Amino acid sequence: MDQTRRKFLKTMAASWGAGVATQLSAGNGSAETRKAARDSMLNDGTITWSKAPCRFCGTGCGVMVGVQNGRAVAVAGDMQNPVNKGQLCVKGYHLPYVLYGKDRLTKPLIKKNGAYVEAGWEEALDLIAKRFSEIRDEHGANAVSVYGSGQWTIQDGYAANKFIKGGLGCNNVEANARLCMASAVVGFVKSFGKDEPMGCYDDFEQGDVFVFWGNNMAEMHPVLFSRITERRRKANWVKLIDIATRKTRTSEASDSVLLMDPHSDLAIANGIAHLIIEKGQVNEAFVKKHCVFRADNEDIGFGMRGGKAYKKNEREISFDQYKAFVKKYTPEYVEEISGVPQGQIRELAALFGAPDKKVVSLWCMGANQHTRGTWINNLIYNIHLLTGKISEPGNGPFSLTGQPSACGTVREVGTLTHALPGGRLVANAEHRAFTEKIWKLPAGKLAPKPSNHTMSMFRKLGTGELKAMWVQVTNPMVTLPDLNHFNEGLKKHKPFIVVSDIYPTPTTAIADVILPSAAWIEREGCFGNSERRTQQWDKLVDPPGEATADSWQLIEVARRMGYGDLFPWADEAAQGEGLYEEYRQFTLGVGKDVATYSELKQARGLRWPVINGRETRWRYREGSDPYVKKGEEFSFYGNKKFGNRAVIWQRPYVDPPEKPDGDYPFWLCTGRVVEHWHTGSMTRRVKQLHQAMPSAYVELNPEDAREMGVSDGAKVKLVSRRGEIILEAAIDRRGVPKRGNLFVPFFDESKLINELTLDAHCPLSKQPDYKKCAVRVEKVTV
Amino acid sequence: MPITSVVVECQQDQTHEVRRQVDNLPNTEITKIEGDLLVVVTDTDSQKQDHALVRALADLTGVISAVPVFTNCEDLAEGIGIAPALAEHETHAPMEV
Repeated sequence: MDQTRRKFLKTMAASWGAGVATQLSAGNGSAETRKAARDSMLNDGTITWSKAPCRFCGTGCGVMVGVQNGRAVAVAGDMQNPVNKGQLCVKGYHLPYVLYGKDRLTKPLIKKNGAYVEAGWEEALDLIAKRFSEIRDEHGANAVSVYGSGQWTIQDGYAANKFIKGGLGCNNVEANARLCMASAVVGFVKSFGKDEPMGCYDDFEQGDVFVFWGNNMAEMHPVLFSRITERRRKANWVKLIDIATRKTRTSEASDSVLLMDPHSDLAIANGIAHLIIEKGQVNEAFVKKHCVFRADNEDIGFGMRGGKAYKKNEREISFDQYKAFVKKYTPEYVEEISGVPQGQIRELAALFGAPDKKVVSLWCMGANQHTRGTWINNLIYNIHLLTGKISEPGNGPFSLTGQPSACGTVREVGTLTHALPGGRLVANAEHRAFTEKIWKLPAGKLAPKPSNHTMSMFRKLGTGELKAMWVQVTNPMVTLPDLNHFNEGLKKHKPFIVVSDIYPTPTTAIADVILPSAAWIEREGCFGNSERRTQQWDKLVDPPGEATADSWQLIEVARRMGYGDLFPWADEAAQGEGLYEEYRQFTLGVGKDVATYSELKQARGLRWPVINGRETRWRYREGSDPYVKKGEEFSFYGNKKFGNRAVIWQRPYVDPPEKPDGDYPFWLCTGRVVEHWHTGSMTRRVKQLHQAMPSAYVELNPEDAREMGVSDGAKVKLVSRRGEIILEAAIDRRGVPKRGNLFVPFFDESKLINELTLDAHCPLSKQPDYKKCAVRVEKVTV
Repeated sequence: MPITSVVVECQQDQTHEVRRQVDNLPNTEITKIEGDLLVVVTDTDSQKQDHALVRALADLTGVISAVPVFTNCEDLAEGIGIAPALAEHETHAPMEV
């Protein structure tokens, strides 16, 4: 690079940094500095800059992508995007790199005689359509399935949903969000009648107390966490409270850390509710006007193969019955279950109960990947409802998401077996009729019952009941719990598997057909983030080789199977807007009104419901949410059957299905690291990220390690009832588990920790619990 | 070669000390100070150096966070095509199913 060019780029970098710093500090002249930064970019004649949302987590940061000679060559945090205000995390900063790994899939591959052979699109698509049709005709539509992800664009998910439900006429479409967000969905629906948060990221600048429920936000949502630390920097009374089973970077930044035993969050939440009632801190006016109390069966099993099935017995209870129920969750009893000193429980309850403190609760996988995931979501809502700290600036429960469009695609488009777009249900006759009308289907075409949730789908692949699956944008052969079990079933029954992805993965390794996908800015699309913000981006560079958008692939197979009328758009260019605008019709009038495509092209995303171009920051609140009528103050209008009131649920603490014992004395928790995203199929191809975090490890508590004679860096073997793995011991490094606990990240496909995990799940949400099973540690002699 | 700008957030009353430490780091230039925030531009010869420098900024005493906000990698047109970090594991061989 010549010196003039280098100097120019440094000026641009400095200018952009100045703009972000000014934006963050909101100092004088910020608009002027920001404008200077933007102008410096626009004035560069060699790089074309365009907006896009980040490809990774559910935060939905805005990035500016610099394209030169058809390649992405630069990235900057988008100062105009209110989500990140110009900031990026280490993954976002490496975004362009994930497009250019040397082993990108560029041509369709068909397995012939045990080897993959390059094929043309016609041959590959014809083969998929032929095999799907044969299986449908021989075994019924329910033998065919599509399994996608929260990384699908809204367009991809909508095409998959329409193909399976409107074309094949079955409900075998699911997405990996079942593994990460299902408990949040069911939790929201059970408490409020509608999915997704009532609050938004603006709460982070207005809260006084931030409570992290099993949520290592500093590493998993670093840009949002920096908004919270910035809030504390400006307001020294702000408190951060970390409830966790291991100390992390979030703990380091927190004012108080409640180190709990796994699964005991259920008791802690009930204990806080009890103290709020006991201290007379219930917001009686709010509760009386806006809440009802309900209970359900408490012995509901754990979703195990051959285990007890959940049977619903929901019923109304009184406040006094609820009060009597939580009475046993005294601080002493909660300490006994959780190991958290009662003084800390009292302190946290006092913060929730203080009328002058605005409290934001935050959680993600720690609460959702839980055999009582729905319950713990409900229990957190209970606390906010009892105190009336909900749906107002700085006050509210906020469920974070892990994927860029788990909300936008899976939850809003409804790519789950029970769902139809816009929060509708396949089991509801009116909803099916509405969908048939939009999709121009004959009445009665849509199947009225949910078929297989994700765990059921993979269990049936393993038993041979499900004959075909098309996997897109996800890597289940790394992420499913109890992987050995599924592997054995696949080997035995040999289902027909199609995988669309951008790189080879352990999942492409089991495919009969591999399709090369266009990634991120190689096609246009939309994502929906954690705060109901829908964001659009244009195609900015060409995909490599013959790679194409996942939605195009689905539509081409649908056409070959006779479902072409469902997709009247001529080509990929027309599908972006066409699929979105058709989907949008499902959102209107039901409180989920997404913005028009043309509005999204201009904006840095808009938070639904968007009415007359105006977004909604706090749902269910008069003056903010256009669905709340004047004089209602609050209206939880998803719960019409309860008079637009939210539900405070009676949910007890119960023991988990597997606990440490003499043979397996440790708890195992799995999770992520800041350098890698999910299974690492993209970030492990970025040399710097790989070097920073090259392989999985196991974190041990230093005292446990000392007792076992295990030193940092030593190899140890973890053994569960389902599998075993050898890992390097990490002691006193990034995270420090509570005594008796271990932590292993799941990004490393060469060290599959999910061969040890348990496939128990929440019986309501069907979401597996990756956060706790029992293992033992054995020293490895070299 | 990579050019990156990083917004460094300092703990209260630590800005001066952080500034002193940044001045001692090679290939860095403080281009703006806004309250407790420093804008640091790095200019290194490789991605490895760039990445190490960003981490070093984050690890400085008195730093709350070091957030990259801009990076240019146009000289890495071929270098971006990193050989797969996973090749050594040979896990992509088709399973026998």
